[in-house]
Amino acid sequence: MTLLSVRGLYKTYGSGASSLPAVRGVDLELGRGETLALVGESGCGKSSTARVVVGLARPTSGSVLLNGENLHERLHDRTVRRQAQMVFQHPDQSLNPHFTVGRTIAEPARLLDDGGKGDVEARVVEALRTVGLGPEYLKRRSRELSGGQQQRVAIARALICDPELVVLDEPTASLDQSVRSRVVALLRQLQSERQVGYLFISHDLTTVRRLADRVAVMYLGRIVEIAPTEELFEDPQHPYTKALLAAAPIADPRRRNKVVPLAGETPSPARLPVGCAFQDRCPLVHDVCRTHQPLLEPSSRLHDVECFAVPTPAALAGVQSGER
Amino acid sequence: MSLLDVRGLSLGIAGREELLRDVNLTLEAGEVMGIVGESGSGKTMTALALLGLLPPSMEIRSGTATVEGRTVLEAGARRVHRASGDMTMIFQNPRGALNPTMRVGAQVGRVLRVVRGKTRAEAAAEAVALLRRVGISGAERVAKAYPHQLSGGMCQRVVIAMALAYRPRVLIADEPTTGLDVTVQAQIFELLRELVDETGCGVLFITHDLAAVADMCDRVSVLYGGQLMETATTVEMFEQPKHPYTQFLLESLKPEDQQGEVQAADAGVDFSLPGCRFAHRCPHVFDRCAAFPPLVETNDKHLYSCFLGQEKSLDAAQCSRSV
Repeated sequence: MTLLSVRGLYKTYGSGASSLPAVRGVDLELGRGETLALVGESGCGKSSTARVVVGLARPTSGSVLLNGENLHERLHDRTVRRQAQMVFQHPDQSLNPHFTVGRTIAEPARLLDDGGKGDVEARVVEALRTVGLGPEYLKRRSRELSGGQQQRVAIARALICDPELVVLDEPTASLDQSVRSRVVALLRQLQSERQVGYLFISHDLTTVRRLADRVAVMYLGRIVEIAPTEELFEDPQHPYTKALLAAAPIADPRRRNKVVPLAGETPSPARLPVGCAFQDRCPLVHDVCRTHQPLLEPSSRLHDVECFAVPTPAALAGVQSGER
Repeated sequence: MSLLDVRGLSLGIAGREELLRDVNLTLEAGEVMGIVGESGSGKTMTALALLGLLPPSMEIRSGTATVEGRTVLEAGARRVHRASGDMTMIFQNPRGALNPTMRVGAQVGRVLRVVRGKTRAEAAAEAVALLRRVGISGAERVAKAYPHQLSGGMCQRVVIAMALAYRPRVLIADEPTTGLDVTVQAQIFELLRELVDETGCGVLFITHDLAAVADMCDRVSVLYGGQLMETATTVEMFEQPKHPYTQFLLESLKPEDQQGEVQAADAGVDFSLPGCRFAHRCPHVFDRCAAFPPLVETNDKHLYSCFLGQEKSLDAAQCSRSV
């Protein structure tokens, strides 16, 4: 059974004329011990998806199944709830400045676990050790720690209830390069030890390539392409994915970006055009893109693309049978 | 004579240790010089010092800076630089750098009136022309908009237009694309490159993103803990880094299973120690590192601050002599 299954997820903020559709029909599956990266630019709905998946926000429609159980119908149930935890982008803002490190990490255990209070402290020390910090940090407060140490504490807090799913919302975005690669190494090590599934939200493609097994690219609330990591980086199909990969600078001065891959900026989700949301920036735009919404279809095994301009086996078969 | 010449710049909070120690930088006309470092390395502090925008608690202990020979900074003085058009800065958060209650065209126009002495009508017309120049389509309409009505990328274009209104010789860009999407970042980089080619100004490009440096800069200076570690052309820096810190920084770009010796990455810098500020993390540390290492020159464009290379070249010299 898959660990996480997201079906037909819609999340709309506000209502009526001022409504803002942040997520518009997302389907996802994530297995145990697997990492699925959700990449896309600001406002594409990746953080909204993350918040719904851990139960911090309710879906407008659609469902989130965790081990086959509907998360949003079982939010009161601690045994379901502790299965999904989250690590936030800004550790300095997501840790309570009044709490000691020990109390911060113990909080979810006290709130979500049934076990006696006595063993909590031992578990906190153990959780600290797994993220590479000694017991001397128990009495410190978050402001006394560096960014990398703060994020380690946030990871320990997410892991203390032994969840099966951890949503990582840009966990390394606020960290320096050298600290970043150490946190990524820690996340990988913890995953191989515990078989925890990661839903990894990021716009940093280098880190995504290192951490993820599969990558889903989001644009304005929809997944436009999903594929195994290396396949997506080596053979991107959707014109937006191609532009995104081409736009990211490479740390090699002999391979500079010569052309700007994409004009314009992402339009506001509040004023979406009819048809494909990418039409106004797309180099391959066609009449049908302005009238119909393309759907995510397999372009090869394990590789799905949502674009009329990408020939999928199904579309090609249709063309061939039409010719005959 | 270099366009910008910073010599021996040291600064710190009055009565406390030095936060920036003996920093030397040069920038030529038409050149993009990257200033790289992690948070707290002193890169923004250097820029603020050049612009005379240091917080009141900071004092300049020693050093000078000149633009085309004119002094813009000297020790002890609070502020030498004036809004002369010599230098201007693009800040990290474009929305925060704009006045939220003023139409963006008026904000660009105000620079033209105050700095360049234009009349109100001239300024309004030239502001629209500048907005058009930075790639804003429908510049007349955008000039009448308030910052909150524009996207982050548009706001950064407006800020660049304001900077251009000064006709600066030196443009300081402090993490100009942080918070912008990569596809928009590529557009802003392209715009900055065009402006350098067109106006011949020099750009100090402050960033922590080595990929952005590789993409944008002709030369790079690496800062750590307020100490200038290394200056070289971008290609040399990436291919033949001399300083252990630069080597470590580049190493951290590789997948972790290919990285070399592990160092305590989270350890802070002790600014009160007199020696090299990277010594406590350096895998090659030895007794001489307790003193402050001077800048050594390997060739005319490659300088670094470390005893290690000197020791080796000394050894090499002795070896060749003994042979």
